[in-house]
Amino acid sequence: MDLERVSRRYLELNEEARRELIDGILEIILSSPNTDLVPDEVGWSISNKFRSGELYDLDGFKLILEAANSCEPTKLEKFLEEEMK
Amino acid sequence: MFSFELVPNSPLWKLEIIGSIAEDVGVDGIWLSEHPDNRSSILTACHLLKTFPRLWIGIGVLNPYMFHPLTIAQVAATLSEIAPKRVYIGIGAGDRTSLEKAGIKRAHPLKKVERCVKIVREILEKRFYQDEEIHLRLNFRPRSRVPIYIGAQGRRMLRLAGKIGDGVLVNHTNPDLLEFAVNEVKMGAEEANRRIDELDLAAYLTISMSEDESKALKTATPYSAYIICGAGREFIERLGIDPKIVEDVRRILRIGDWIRLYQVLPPDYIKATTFIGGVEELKELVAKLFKLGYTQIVFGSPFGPRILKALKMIGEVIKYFEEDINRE
Repeated sequence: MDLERVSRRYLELNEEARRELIDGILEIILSSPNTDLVPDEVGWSISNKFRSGELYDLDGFKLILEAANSCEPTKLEKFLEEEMK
Repeated sequence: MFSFELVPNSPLWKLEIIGSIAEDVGVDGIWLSEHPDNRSSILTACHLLKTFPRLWIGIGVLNPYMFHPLTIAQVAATLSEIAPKRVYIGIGAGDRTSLEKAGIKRAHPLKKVERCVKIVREILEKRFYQDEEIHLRLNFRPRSRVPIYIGAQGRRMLRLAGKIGDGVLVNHTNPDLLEFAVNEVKMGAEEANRRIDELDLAAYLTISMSEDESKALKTATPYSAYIICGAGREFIERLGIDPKIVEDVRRILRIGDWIRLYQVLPPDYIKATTFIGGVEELKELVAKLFKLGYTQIVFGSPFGPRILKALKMIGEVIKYFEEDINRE
């Protein structure tokens, strides 16, 4: 997955679309039975950002991309293909 | 009162995120289930109590086979220091399949649970317990009262819960069994000259919500399998479940062949033991349970194939009943 390309595309979206995208990826992470594969420091950072309402920025987006890519790479790729058409 | 059940089979950061969503959708507390192959519910409770100062945390349930009553009392008293008035302890006989995996035979569950509750309560209330085997004085004071809930499913455990529990965690989702359970708890309470409204009667539901029924069924399948394997003969008969399938499911669970499990367990059995549906169906079930006399609804795992979406759906149900209460 080309993270740079995905991040550039993210920045082109309006705020509502960014939130929807992040929620979609968060759903993949929360519904995954493989979250033990996510590096703990990434997981804790996501939780801190989520609870302080700061997940919906570029840093938050990059973190959840990394987490979803660790636990559900195929689902993430399919989701991004659909969302970023 | 509404609460969530979280299973500590996910990393703590993930439980934190779900806990945060739980706070947002308006639940009052979180029950943490205890399984020997998951993270410790006790240590998870410590963490969540510090993270969420508005929520109470219950450990549901610790069984006296794996946890000595003195350990349970010590845990409850220590947690009350972390979060006074926000700690609940559940005590029950434990899941038969999980205990078997640990090499423990679940012998005399009623006696075991009754004695365990007696010891824990006395230590928490008087800081002292003595009988022919145990002599213990607690070196510190519990910072608040810790309500003791009894996890119950069968007729005799439900009656015992009515006699001695501050609350009951009724481990059923099927409305007919939940109705049966209320009556048994009532009988137990009456036998002990108590009123049913002295107890917090909690329906501990297994929920799988989705607009796509087949996905909701698939998600609920392992949970249903454990429920069926842990249920007594009486419930298997009541639910019309073929005992041969119960035996097959037990064997499959022992070897962990999940693909075979999806083939063997019929959808009707899954529906009889878990909640499968959407917002309107859940509202209907909750209304029915309040009418039966339940005072707490525990929305339990797995929630659904898409957790975030399912939690939001449960949030809609909670909001509906809160608005209903405010209207009254």
